Amino acid sequence: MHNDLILFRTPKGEEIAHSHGHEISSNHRRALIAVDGKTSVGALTKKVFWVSDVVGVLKELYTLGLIHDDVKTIQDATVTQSGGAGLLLKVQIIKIAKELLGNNAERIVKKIEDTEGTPEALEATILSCKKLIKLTINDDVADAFLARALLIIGR
Amino acid sequence: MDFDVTMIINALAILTMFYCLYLVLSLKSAIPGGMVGKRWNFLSVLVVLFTMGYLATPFFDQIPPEVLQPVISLIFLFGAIYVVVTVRLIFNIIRELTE
Repeated sequence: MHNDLILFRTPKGEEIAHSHGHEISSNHRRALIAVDGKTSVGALTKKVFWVSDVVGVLKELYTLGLIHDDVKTIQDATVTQSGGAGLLLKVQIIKIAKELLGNNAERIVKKIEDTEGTPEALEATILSCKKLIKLTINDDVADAFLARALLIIGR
Repeated sequence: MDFDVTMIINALAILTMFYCLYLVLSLKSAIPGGMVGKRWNFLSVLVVLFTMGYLATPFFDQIPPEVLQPVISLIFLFGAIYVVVTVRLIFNIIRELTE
């Protein structure tokens, strides 16, 4: 498993992470919860000291289909946490920003990338981006961006 | 002595205006449009005008008084417009950020 790889929880992984069942060991559950769709495998290895054999556990979770590195696998996931589906939302909002703003999307994309993946954090970032677009790029596009981005996060 | 002081002040004013010109032109690419972008274009035009006016200050003693007076009045007028546009721009930015 490459150190630069960024993993996120699949819908199945989400379900198990939030359940209190015994589908996986507590060590595996701790590793599953630590996966957030932002932190690389290398960083997790250093950060998550409370999980023994981080890489080995991640490989097993990957094999079980609880975590993945392909964003397409979480398209139907619920929107409740910073990793997983939150990452997909960010990808979709970034796509809208690039479509509406073209070459001027760089700063907006960075703001979205830097934000947490929760709906609350994304909503605040979307409103902030709308203001930035209105002030420095285009008034009309700002309203279009706001409407479409809020639709994505279901607000 | 008076001449030297005036010349130094003029030189400083021209240098400052060139710095201002550099700032408005270099920041232009970061502000392609929107509320700030529109005002920025107008401010850039005013800065270009001021730069030209400031460059002419060393030659003011060669300009006839009947021409010089309106020129100075115009510089004051454009200076006042510049200040109004800048203050309104700041006001609008604050309003937008706080709404």
